[in-house]
Amino acid sequence: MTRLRPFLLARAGHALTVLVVIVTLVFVLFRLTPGDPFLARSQEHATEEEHAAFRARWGYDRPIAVQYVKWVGNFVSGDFGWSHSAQRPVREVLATAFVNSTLLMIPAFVLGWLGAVALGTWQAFRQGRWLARASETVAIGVLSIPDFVMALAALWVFAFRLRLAPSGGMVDVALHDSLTLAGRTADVVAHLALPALTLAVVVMFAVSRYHRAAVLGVLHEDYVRTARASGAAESDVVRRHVLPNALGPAIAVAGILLPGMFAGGVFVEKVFAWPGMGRTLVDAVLGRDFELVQAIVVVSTVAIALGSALADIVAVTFNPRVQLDT
Amino acid sequence: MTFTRGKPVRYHEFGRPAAILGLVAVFGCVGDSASRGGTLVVSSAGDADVLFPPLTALAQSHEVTDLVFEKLAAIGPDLNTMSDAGWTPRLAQSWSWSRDSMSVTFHLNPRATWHDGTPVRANDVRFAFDLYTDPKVHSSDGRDIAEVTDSVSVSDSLTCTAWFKRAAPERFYTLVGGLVPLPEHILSKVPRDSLLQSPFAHAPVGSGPYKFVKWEPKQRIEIAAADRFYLGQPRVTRVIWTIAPELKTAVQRVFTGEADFIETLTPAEASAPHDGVRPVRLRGNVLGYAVFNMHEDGTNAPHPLFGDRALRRALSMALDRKTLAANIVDTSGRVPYGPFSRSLWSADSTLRQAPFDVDAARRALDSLGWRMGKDSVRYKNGKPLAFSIVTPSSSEIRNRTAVVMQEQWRQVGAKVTAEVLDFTAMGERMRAKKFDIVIMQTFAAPSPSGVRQAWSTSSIGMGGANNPGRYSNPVVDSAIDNALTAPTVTAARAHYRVAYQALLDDAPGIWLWEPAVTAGASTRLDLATLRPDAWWTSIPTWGVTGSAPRGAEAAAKKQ
Repeated sequence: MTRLRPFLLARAGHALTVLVVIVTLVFVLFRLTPGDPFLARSQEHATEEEHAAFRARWGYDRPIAVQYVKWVGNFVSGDFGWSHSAQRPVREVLATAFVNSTLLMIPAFVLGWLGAVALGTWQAFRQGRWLARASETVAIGVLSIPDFVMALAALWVFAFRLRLAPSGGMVDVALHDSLTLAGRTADVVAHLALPALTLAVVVMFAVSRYHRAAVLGVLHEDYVRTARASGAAESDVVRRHVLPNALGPAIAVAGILLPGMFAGGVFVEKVFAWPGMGRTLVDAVLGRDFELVQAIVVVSTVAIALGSALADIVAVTFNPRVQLDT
Repeated sequence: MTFTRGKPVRYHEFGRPAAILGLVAVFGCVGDSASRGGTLVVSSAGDADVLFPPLTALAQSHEVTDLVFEKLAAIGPDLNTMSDAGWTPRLAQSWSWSRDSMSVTFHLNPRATWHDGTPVRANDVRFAFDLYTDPKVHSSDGRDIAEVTDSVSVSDSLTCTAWFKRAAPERFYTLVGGLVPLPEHILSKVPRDSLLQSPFAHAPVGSGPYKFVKWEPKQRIEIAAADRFYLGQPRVTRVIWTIAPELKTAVQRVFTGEADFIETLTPAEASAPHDGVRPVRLRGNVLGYAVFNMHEDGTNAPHPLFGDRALRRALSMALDRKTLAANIVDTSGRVPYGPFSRSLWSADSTLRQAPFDVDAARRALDSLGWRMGKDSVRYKNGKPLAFSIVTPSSSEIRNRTAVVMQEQWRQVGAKVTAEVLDFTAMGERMRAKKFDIVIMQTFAAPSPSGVRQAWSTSSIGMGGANNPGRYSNPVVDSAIDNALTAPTVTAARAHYRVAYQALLDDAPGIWLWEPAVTAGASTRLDLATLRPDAWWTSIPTWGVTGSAPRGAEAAAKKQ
């Protein structure tokens, strides 16, 4: 804990600075883009005067600096504002999107990350063999395909051709409410499978390359050679000596990748009609839903900062030789 | 009528081990939803905005509110807006006109109740009128209602009278077609300027054939048949809108059997056979047109190009609209007769049109002083014939239209830039009047009075989409006004004809295409006659074979 405190304080300081800079930038830039949250409704249903009245009522006619100070004050006091695109409190919209994203991203990430560790370790141990080389080629191929193309391909094969999975959404809208709790869970899992597996594949091949390189670096270390020379089983060598020393890069990447997926999984969310953070963010940007965009930016920035710090802590836990950089 | 069960199987029906997704069927279902039957799943390419009739702006919202709320009367299939002929009693079981036709008294159905059990009373009608017409509410329907209606008075709990301001021929349509009675006992305490943010706007209590069940934003909206509906139980007992982020995904849900109905199929989708899905031709009411900005960016000075009527006409003549329509909306598309949809009773196929004549267009441009330069662009006083066309990125059809127009106008020496903007940015440009040409798409209401919003002087400043080019022509204005006050359909039609012809001659816009709309319906649906302007209003009379959507059946069988 003594080791952690300065690290956490330093990280909190960095995160706060980044947060203030990003939030301020987004706030200003977004206010300078053409349009406002009332335009969609005003297009056919409001006079110029009414449009101006909407802006005045919600404070959009005031100087940007005044709006910013007011927004910060409200946000700090827990008032995230009103989403004009969803006509609901931002807190409510954000909570729903966050839960939906968590439901998709966590299983996808866990699956993908574990797969990456397994694949990367296997590739390193089988370095030079044709199967390992083939799998590395496949990895490069998959990574060079945009994730939405992967998603569309998965959709076409599994939903439209083979009919093994639903084509999108979170539940079967006609059936879901009539199911038992177990049935409802299974329904969500069924709808989750295709988008989660698509994301998991992307994560797996992305992280496995870092992990493979790390394992290759560790395999030639003296302590591995010593362990083998002392007659330790290969599985023990991997578990006790290789993995703890090689997991650092995979964990570090995880710290950035996972939080980034929340707002960045928009294409997969769009293709599979999954109402998560990414889709909510895009809709909010298109609808100039300033307050919702701001809230998502804050949550994403905090999540990335937390994820990064957490990844460092986990890396230290696995390998005490790693120094926490303050 | 007989039905053919569609072949497509849902993912739940698979029993193979690889189909881990068949889990749902294994776990089974509870309750009686699956056995009640009559569930209809409508696939929608967008979410609703609010479910509060005075403020609903999107068609998706209307689909829901028109089934949850009941109006005093419903327009007939011939969409007569000039009188109450053909209108059928709904919340009002009858109505009677005063001798001078300046008031109409409605007698409410005594069995009508709100979905919370409270009886619908005449006070609710008066309350709704007050609410709609309250400026704090900002209801566009309310503005129209207030234009023709002075007040609503209550005689007794089941009788109310609407008093009109003037003998406008469409006064009955404007009032009854626009006004949705609202529950005073729930809404009277909600501040008028906060109705959009009220819980009622997201979970309404209506008096229609269906009661609101749930709305999960971006996922689904569900309504269920109201208990003991006073006009008879709907055949479809549950309606669910499943919301997709885009049209293609929404269409696929029907093709995979996950939904029963989609409002729009592309011609290619409609012509390609899909097991269990049949195309249903709807009477189209969509109109696509280009609007010239008559004034210089954001000012009242004439537009340097389109302030000139002769130039607008020359450009109109240079457009091969027939080819354009065929390119854009395929064989189902037609070139409009003028600034109106064919579905309107005022539609007139005998109007004088600017011909497609590239040579005449070139000659007209030459005579206007626009000389062809070495770069194949025309110049006048050193300035090129260059302008841009604005379209929203969300509309593929309009983006493609801009590209075809760009190419056709290039051939007469115009340098055209296509500007694809996101919807809000485009809205801002229209609001600020900073554009050269914008391509619009409208869904015609039953009344031809929509031409006033689109082209009359009075609609300038009434929202960016209303007369965005700020066109003003006293001939058009007076003809529309005369049509709106004409005592008979024949007289109104004559006045509309004058307005339409003036618009065609003046060319403040170019009317480009009018696509036929083809819906996709599951073969398990027995569709009743669909109202041309609002197919969803007949949902209560549709038949649905089987007990529920196929997934639910499979689950029930497993149990």
